[in-house]
Amino acid sequence: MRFLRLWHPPRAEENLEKELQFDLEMAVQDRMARGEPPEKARQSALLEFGNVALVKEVTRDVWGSQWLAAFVQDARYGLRMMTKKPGFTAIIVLTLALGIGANTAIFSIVNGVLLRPLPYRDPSRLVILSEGTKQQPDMSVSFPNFRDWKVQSRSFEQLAAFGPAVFNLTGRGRAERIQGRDVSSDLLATLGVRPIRGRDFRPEEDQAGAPPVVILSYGLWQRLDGDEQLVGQTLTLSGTRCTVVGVLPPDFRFYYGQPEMLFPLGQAMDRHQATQRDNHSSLYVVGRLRPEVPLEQARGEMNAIARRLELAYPETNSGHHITVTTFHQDLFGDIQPVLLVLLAGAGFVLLIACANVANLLLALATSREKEISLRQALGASPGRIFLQLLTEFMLLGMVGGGCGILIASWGVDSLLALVPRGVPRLNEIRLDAVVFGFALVISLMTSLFFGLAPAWEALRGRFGSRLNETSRGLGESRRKRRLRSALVVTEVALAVLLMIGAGLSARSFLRLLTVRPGFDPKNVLALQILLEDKKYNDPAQAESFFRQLVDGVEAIPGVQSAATATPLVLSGQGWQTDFVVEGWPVHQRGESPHSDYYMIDPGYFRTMAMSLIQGRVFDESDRIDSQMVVIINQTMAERFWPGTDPVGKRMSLGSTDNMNPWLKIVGVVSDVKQYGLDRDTKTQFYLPFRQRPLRYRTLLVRTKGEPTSLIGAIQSKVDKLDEDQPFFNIRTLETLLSDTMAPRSTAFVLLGLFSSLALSLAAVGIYGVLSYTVSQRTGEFGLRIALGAQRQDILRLVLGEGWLLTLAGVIAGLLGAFFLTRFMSSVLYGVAPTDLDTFVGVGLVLGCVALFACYVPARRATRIDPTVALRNE
Amino acid sequence: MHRKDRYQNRIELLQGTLDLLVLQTLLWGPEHGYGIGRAIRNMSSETLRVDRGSLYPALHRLERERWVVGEWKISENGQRAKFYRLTARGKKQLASERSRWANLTEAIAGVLNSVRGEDKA
Repeated sequence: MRFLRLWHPPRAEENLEKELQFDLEMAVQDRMARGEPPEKARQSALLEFGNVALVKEVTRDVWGSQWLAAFVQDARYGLRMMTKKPGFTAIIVLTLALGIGANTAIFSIVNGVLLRPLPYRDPSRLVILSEGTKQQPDMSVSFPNFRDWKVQSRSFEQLAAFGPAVFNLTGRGRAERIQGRDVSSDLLATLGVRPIRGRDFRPEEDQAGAPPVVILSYGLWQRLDGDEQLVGQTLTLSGTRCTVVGVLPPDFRFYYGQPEMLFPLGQAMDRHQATQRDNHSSLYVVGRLRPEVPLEQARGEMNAIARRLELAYPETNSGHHITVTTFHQDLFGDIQPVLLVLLAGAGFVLLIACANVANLLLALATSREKEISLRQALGASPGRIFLQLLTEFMLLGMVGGGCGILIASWGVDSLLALVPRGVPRLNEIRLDAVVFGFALVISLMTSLFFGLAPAWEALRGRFGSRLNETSRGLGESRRKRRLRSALVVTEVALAVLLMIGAGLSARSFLRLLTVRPGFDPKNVLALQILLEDKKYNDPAQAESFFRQLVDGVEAIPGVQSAATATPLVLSGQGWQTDFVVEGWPVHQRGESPHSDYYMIDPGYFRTMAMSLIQGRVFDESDRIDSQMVVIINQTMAERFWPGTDPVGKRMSLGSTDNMNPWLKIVGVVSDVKQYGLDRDTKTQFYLPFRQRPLRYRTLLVRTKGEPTSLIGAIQSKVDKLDEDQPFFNIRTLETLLSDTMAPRSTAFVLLGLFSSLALSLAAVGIYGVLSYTVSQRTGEFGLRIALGAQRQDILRLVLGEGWLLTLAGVIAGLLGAFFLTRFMSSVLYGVAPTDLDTFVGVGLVLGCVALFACYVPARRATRIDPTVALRNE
Repeated sequence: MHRKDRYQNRIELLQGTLDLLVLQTLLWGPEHGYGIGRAIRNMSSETLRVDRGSLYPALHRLERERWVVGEWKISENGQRAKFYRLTARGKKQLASERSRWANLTEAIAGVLNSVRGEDKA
């Protein structure tokens, strides 16, 4: 009891001291007031008071069993129990650590990506607006439309347009390519972000002909030596001298990434061909809803505006609708379902872990019943014992949680290697206070979950009755066996659920692997190059630059072939246009055929290893002054020229009322997957750069060996042509391809991991329950054998019990899966959420594992030597 | 340990009664430990003297039972002192202790009176 004194909070001790001191002084004062001299008053007061230390001690005794002291006592006791059974403790802690670790790791990603608020003022009111037609549901916004929306809409506090902008920064060391955004002057105000240095754009700067100004990101500002003086100075961007007017906050990010620079959209109208109403090249619109306007109302208003604009500008706007999405949905709509499925999976693992631990503790509780009865006999109240057990379990939970955090901190890094790189805010993921809080809370909740049943069971109606019983005898009570069986059934059911989830995502992934991308991604390097428009004003200049580049690169040893193209496959970008097929019925605008298209070099199909099905590829005969030509893909040939040879037929870009020159089809090539393997194959056609030079291209290089080893050599070829010309976004096609598959491969790998964890936990659970039953019923089995029961009968008896549990669990799990897997349909590909094969397969796998888990203890039961068993009785 | 035992014996003896007296005193308003002792002494015309070894354990026990709450306030002589205030629970407890006390004294009186009656007979 004495060591507990140490645990009284020092404050209580101090207060008691003060309280008694005050008493003494009051006594002295009272005596002095009655006329006693000060010295005598103090003496008699002290005498009357008695032994101060003793008064303190007896008062402190009253505190004796306060909760803190009791808690410390329980915790010490718990620790002693844990160290007494180290193997048992290790299994429990490991089980919990795996469950908690998995949850913490997944949660840290969910938290970093989904939960942490976006760094804007009131981000929930931000929306992204885009246009669309029936064939092309997601289109960027044409600038004149944006201007009309701005004038006509009432739902928004602000609407701001933005589009991509790439600059070549020169005159500051090595030429650098800067990725930025062209933005309306009120974009930052819409987001609720203020520059930390300098100022925002002014409305008058958002116009053609205004003096060029830029706002730098914090990172770029730091890279350009972080000089205060830089604000107000000029930088040379793509040949234009621009004045730096402001610097963004360090955490600024906007729409898929951290733009390094903002430029007034009004001065960049050419870049976006923003004066034409039918041009939907690259702009999107962000809006801030008025506080009182719900999203649905804004959608309704924008629909009405879309209809008005259709009437006013039928030739450009008919069939166009406006989509209003919350900023959050737009950014995270793709990844959210995957993360939630994974979080649910991790949650199931933790529940199974809880059930397993509860089972272990129930087994342990039987051996502790005598101890608990003893404590009750000595006067401990049931509540007190309950608390003591809970404290013990909580201790287990916390130790498990601590180990779980260790697992998570290691796991997050491996997880990040799996998660698609395109997911926004991945670099913000870390184990922060929120994640630790989460781990703490689930550790405590877990302790309650796995602890309640055993603690309750330990208390229920056996006051003192156990003291005079032997621990063998009839074995555990029927009720307790039912409880343990229920736990095993739950475990099996959850494991079935998880395995079905994993099975479905594995099937999706395997399906995906069989999809051919239409090109050979192995050993191909992609580098993006944007030629400066000042220097390469003449398109012929750009064409000759890229020709020389391709020739130079092809001369590098180890290079098989090289070509340029725009846009790059699987880059997330795609170019689309309406087109007209000669001899086809005239369509209304918004309903005319629509297709992806590419601009390429003659060497493109060779470099991508695509196959030519009919006709020819582009060659030197396709010049700017010769017949305009086009190559189409197989899907397009089948859809628009079914049953005939399309080579020699003609089509044109644009729509009927706005027709461009006829293009002659010279070839048909194989289909490629532009937007990912899981997407439908679209119609695609190819135009030659030779007839339409472009300054912005991707250089593709097919190599004999590891492609990244040639980057240096390629760089020097570029430098030889133009030293001020940076290239960027260097990737291999293989990484691009695996990035597009990453959400599914992540789900596949993690759910696979979780379900194997679940399966082994469930197997351990079944095994544990049966071995325990067998050990409890040794005497009974011995008796049965002595009385002539065959070993087969005993085997059947034990296996039967195990099978019954498994069967119940499997049925419950299959039923649960039937209702739950539909929530993961957006993560699946090419397989139904209620895929029969998966359901049957999982049932069989679990059955086999359960059979094995039952067999070991059942076999032990048949080997019982009746003489030994009965002698021990 | 000898003196401690003596105190504890007295606590046992006085326990119920002391609680009653303390709670009753606090009915007049919050008071610190010394003031409670003084009030009991004064109201009993110096007959009942509660020593600190009984008073403070009793106060802390009453506090733990949440019949009183301790609050640190400035006392009449300008020092910080721990004042005890009667809680609603405490008032209920006081009422029940009072009726218990009344029953007890009545019972004891009955016993004593009957003894006197026997003497007369």
